[in-house]
Amino acid sequence: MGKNNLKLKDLVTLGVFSAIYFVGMFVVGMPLGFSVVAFLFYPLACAIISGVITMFFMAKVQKPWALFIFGLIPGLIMTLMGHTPVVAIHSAIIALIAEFVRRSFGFKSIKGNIITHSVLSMWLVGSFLQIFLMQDVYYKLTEKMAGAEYASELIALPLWIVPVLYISAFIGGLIGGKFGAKVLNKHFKKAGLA
Amino acid sequence: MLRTKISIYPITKILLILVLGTMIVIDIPIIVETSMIVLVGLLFFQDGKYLTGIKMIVIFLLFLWFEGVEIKVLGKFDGFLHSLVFMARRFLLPVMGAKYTNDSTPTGVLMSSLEKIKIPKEVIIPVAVMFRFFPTLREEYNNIKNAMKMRGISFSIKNMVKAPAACVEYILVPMLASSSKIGDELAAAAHTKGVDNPCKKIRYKESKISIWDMFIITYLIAILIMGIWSRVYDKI
Repeated sequence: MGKNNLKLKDLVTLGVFSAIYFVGMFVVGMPLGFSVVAFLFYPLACAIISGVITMFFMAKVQKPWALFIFGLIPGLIMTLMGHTPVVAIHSAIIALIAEFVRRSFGFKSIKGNIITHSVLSMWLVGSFLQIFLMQDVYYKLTEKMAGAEYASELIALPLWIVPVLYISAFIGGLIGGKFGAKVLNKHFKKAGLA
Repeated sequence: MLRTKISIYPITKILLILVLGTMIVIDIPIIVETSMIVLVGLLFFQDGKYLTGIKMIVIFLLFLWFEGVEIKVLGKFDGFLHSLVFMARRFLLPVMGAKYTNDSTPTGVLMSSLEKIKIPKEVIIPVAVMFRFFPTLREEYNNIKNAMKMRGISFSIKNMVKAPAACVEYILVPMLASSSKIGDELAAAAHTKGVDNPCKKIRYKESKISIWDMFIITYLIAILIMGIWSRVYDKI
């Protein structure tokens, strides 16, 4: 057992922050889901809001693999709650990339943490990716749930929207990470929490 | 002697949620949906939550009845109302399944059975903590709201639009600060209970595979066959 292994305390912290992340994701997603155009801004908005949470988490647990599990859990639970497995696999890949980005910058570097958060935020695009990968299934589902108009609008999204979404998630992550680092300095460092 | 309830094996419950979850994604015939509702209702009865089970079935029947009713109240928005009800009915099943699992499984039993199927503890502990933490989060949010009210700040839509960054900061900062403290305490409590002890554990509460599990699994397989069969029949 090395010193750098994840201890019980880290795992509990992981669970606590995943819960907050998950709730935040839902609170942001609810009002945006009502129209297709607003839904396209979802990765951006969610990346900005979740910046504080991820930055605080990364400041608290500076150990390998912590971020990977943190990125894995929301995708797993989304799949359990009725998304296609595309979301889980996609989020696992993104979380792995984010983990290695974090390692290459070092665990303590603020700049590295901001970039890591931006990379991690890209997993939010997964719910769009399933539109393209499993089109028929997705159409049938949304047609009944939100009306044919909404569904065909969603299906009609062009393929070039995917890279745009990735970039928007990345930019949102940068803004959110900056904001998170600021809040971290302003409140948590002073209180001795981070 | 204490009368002990037969508890259903947690793995079976997880399987059930998985099946219910995939049911939202695929287009299933109404008969499959109804039989799933009957199954979940039965499980609620088995757990002794009669009221919840009856409520769920009544709500489902109301939704079903609503599907056939023609409404001419809102004019253009009639179709929207129908799709709203359809969505609610579709989500009823997984939500109730998750509620049943959450209410009827003690965390210790869940953890021991997850350990048995060799899921690494790096995933088990965060997930277990996460589900335990949702109610705490709601409590914390209410506390924050009350504290804000005392200072004359409210999270109205007007304020959200006017100063979104401040709103996010005011909610998230106290929430993260208190949650991080609660997390530390939780870790200390878990450490005292020996959760991270590397040796094999003997638990007070265990659950074994019983006849109910067999029943549920057979039921699920039967429904699966029925669903496939009806799909094939439709095509012909």
